[in-house]
Amino acid sequence: MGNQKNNDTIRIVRGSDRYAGAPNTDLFIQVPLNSTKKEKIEGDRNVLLNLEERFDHERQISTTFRVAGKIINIFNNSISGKCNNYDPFRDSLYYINVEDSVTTNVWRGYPQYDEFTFFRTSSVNNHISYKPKSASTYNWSLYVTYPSSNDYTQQMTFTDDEFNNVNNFTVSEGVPYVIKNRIVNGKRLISFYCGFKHNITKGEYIYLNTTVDNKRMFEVYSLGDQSFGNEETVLNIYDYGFTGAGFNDGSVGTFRRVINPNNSGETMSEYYVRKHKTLTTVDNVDLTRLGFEKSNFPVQKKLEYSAATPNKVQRISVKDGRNDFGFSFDKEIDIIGLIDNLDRPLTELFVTIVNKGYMGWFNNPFNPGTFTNNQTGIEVGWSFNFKKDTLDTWWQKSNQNNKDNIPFGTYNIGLKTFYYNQDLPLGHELKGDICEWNKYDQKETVLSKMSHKFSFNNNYFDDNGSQNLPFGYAYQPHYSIPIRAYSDYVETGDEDKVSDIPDYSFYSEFEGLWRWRDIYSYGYIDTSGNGVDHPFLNDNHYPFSQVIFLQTPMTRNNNVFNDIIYPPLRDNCE
Amino acid sequence: MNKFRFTVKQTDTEIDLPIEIKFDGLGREDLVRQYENDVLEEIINPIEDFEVTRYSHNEWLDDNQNEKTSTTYSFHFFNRQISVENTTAANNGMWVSDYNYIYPPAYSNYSGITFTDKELYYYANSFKRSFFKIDFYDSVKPENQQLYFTIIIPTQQGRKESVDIGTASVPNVVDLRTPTFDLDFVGDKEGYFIYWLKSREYINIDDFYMSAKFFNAKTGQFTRMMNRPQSMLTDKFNFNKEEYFYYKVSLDVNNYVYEVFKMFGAQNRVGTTIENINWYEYVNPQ
Repeated sequence: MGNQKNNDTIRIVRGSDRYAGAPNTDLFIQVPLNSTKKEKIEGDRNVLLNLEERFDHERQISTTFRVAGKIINIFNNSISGKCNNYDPFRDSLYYINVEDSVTTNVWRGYPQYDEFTFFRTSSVNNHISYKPKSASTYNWSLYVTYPSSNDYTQQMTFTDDEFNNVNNFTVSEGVPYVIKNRIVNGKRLISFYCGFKHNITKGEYIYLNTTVDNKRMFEVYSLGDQSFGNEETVLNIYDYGFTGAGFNDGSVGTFRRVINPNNSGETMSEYYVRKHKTLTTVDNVDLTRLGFEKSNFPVQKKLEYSAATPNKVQRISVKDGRNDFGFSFDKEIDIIGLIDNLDRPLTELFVTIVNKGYMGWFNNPFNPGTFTNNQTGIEVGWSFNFKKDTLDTWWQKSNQNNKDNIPFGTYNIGLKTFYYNQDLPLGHELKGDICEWNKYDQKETVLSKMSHKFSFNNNYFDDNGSQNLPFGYAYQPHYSIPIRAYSDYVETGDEDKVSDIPDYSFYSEFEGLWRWRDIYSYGYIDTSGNGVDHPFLNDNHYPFSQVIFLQTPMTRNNNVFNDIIYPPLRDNCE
Repeated sequence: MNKFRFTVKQTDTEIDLPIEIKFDGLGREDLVRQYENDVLEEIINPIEDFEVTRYSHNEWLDDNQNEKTSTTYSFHFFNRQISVENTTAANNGMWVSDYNYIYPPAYSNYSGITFTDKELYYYANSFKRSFFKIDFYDSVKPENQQLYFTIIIPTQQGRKESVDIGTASVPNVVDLRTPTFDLDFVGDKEGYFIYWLKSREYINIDDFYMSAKFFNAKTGQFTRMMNRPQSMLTDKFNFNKEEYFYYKVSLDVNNYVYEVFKMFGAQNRVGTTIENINWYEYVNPQ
């Protein structure tokens, strides 16, 4: 056997050549031939490319949103006044009763549409200089916000129209009501007329904040009072002969919703004011007038003849306009790391609109210096703070509970001070709608939309209103942009048997199960229309929001915008 | 184990054993997976962000220290009073910012290229469909420049001047457009904003070089514009085109604003009412 010199050289020497007398023998070498090949498995290196699947994969992992939308500004200029203390405002009015004004030199009229539009093309003459760059930020400020936390301590007041009884309550106490006893088809019912949507179905229970006949929980017998469309705000319990004063006509209180009386601890709803945090600043907004869309309402304008103006300058004044506006934000919203007010993944963004009023017609805070904090030019309220024919005292400027964290700014012209609402920084929190959260049902429901009220600075525009409770206009500041959707069913599961239970799920000790709602994937819409399907390109989602922006007077209850479409009237002629 | 048997021959002293040696590099599977992803990306194209955003003209201060955002393009046409070859710096005024620009005594020779006041007033198709085209390149060198985007300024915009289009006995003073455009957030805004890619990953260019042409619907031809009158040049037709046909446009990608600079001299900022973005007709040799 030869010596192996190195790894690849083997020398074999014949036996008789090795030494004298050596025999020849059969030689064997063992060659360790190991197999270094393996069979290829079909599919190991194959990747099936499917455009639809690839698109969906990229869509599902994308977490950034580019928000854009359209504002339909619906406004009725209905508050007139006089402004004899400040000539530039006086000289810019849309005049009424001109003959009287010429005689008395007291000029009355309406502030022009420019004060209420989203894109103004001029300033008030002789007031402040106009900057074209600020055309879209003089009157209103737009932000993208998201629901970030809850306020359970907001003090509220509900004054009903019929009994005019005042119901002061804290939002966490639930739905405010006033009692009215009725007999329907021979049955005695106790009707709860609620301040806002109760979100209760027949057969569920209400839990009062006070006891009546030593009882606090009552089953809901029926909904509504046979008037059209009020099932959402009226509920009835059967009167078995209660004697407690809490069910007398005109009694007020609050209740909370309970789904299952045997599990009231888990199925009782929570109530709170949802708070919004800003994700953008005013510098991130591009807003402009739409070229090819206008609202249906007519433009009202007229020629003011020079002889019929205080400064003898002929001009055209506009009372009502009809422009619509397009907006987009140049900042992408990345929802990674953001959780909503209920510590769940973020499924909803909002476009938030706040009155700015930089021209100085509005937003005079009440007796500056009176309050140590919460001093603002804007008041906040909810749907039940609008009465049919009168201005609810909730809106008084001296009321500290109707304030939000919207700081005002000032500037002076001569000795006159003008007020406006300052731009909000990133991460600023604003109050929002009243919501109900039921952890058993895993569902948040908006019960009452919030409104802002802005009113005239009576120092320069006297609308003959009270200094403490002036007239004004209301608008809703927050407009939802759904970016994901929770399923309309509740999943349940045992942790030992089900994997991937989301961390926002709720553990029901009563059932011994986890409960949660799935989040639908992007592009999936279920049979009830629940889900989102925003365009996806450039690795971003493009949600589009259509904002119907109502600026409405405070003295009518027309701020509640509902989805009811009344059937057309038909008479015998048809 | 395999067994091999060799028969001894007197002549053979060596045998060749075909021993194949194979080995896998450590992590080869990961490399293959990575390669697979690379190939996939190549095949299906990576995600690129082609979203554009709006750039507005950066603020500047006027004589009264007021902040302004407007920008002004002023286009000048040669009035043909004399031949362009004979012009000197003293003849700069022969480039006028007017659509009706031909010197009256020379009008009969050049009526085909200019517009009459009535064509302007009644927005004749030949005027209405004419336009200025501003092209934005990445370089001033024509052999390797690439055109990235274009802005069109329509003739329906522009400053107005009062002109009498009536007769001596029946005057009729009307406002006519001129090729001087004050563009801003409000008013004339077509061509004011520059829309350019938001993401810097695909194309990372902050400086562009813009050139201008006037497309004349009356003649069906276009006229190239220069950044100063030809009368200022010693050689009217043989000059450094990289210097004379462009302005530089710089984008501030953090604040979404742009500024325009001269390509000669101190390379000052222009586009303000202190100094417009002036364009002058380039006249070809006849």
